Amino acid sequence: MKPFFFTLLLLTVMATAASAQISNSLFGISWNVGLPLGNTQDFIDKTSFSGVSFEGRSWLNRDFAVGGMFGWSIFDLVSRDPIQIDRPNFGGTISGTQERWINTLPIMLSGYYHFSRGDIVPYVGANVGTYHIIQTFAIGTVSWETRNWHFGVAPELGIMIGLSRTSYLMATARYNYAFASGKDVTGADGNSYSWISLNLGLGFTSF
Amino acid sequence: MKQRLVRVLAAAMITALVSIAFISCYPDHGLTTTDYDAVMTFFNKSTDFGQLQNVRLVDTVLHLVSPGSKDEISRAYDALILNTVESNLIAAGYNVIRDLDSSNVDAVVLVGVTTSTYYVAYGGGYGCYWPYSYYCYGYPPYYGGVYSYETGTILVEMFNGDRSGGPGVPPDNYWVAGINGLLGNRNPMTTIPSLINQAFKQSPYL
Repeated sequence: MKPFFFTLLLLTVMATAASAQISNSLFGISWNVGLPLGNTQDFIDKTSFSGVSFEGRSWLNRDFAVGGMFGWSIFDLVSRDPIQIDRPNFGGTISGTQERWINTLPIMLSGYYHFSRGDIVPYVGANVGTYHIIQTFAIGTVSWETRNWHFGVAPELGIMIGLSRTSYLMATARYNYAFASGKDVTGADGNSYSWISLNLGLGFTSF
Repeated sequence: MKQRLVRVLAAAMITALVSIAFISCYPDHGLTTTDYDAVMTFFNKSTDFGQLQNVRLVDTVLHLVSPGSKDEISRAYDALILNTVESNLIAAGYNVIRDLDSSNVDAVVLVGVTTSTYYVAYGGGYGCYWPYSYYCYGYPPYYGGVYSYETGTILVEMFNGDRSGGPGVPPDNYWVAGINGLLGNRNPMTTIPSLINQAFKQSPYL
């Protein structure tokens, strides 16, 4: 967990430093809705409404800004559908209530290009960094859990709408892709994760 | 007016996000005792179950305990377990021979049970888990504790009745069912048959 706390501290300092530069920087906090894709969807085919992210960015010039973000989204599902197992030599069925969770914690460095500066600011961004992903599967009285750090990228589209001189309503769509790392709860390789997060939040250029 | 709107929005968002943060990593799904039942069945794909006619049901339930441990598993439900397995085998079309040892059978069915007790620590003094880590370093009394739960497992195994391989040669497994659930505060007289029936229900190839 040391890398996580170190990166968290670094990003907090960056965000604080960015917000301290008043008109040239921004601190944002957003509610994240997660739409699972790929392996994530295979494991949990349910939209997540439990997500939060924090970001800070500082403008290098009129259009470009750099910064960082970190967040936390929880995908979870209860399923009572039986699991069918089909292997070369044997088959089987497992029935029972299953609980599934994926906790995702992205910690990323970000770059943004803003198409204007004014009351309405559309922008594109790219995030590169790491995802700490905890995957948990429980059935009956037993559970399995894996914890892996994944390299990841997250391109995003967004718009900032000025609410006042120092605040913006922020709406972004971010595609998250965490490259495969370690094994999933079934012991299989290739455990990449992907999802789209729709984020709605507030950005402040000063406090 | 705009500033006020921003303040209201900011307050609402921070409240919502703090609420999310206080939801644990594992949101509670409100499960009940029966949600912790699980029935697993596996079958050997090379087995032609249609060719199996005479099946010996071993007429005792094995109590699976650790070597050197005392068998404290109740035998109050052994008859219920065996009767339920037998009725399901008969319903599946098998000719059930229920004795301890008989030859000339196509398959043998063996039933075993075991129980386990688990202890879970919470709060300070035992686990120091966040957000309780404060209590690990605070002053007594600690606010932690320990709770326990007991699970029961029934294993039903069907294997090759042909013992021509001699001792030391394990027979081919045909089918196995593992049934696991929480004990206590429930009626075994209805729970046990229900879960055994489920094992056979999800094994239509038998």
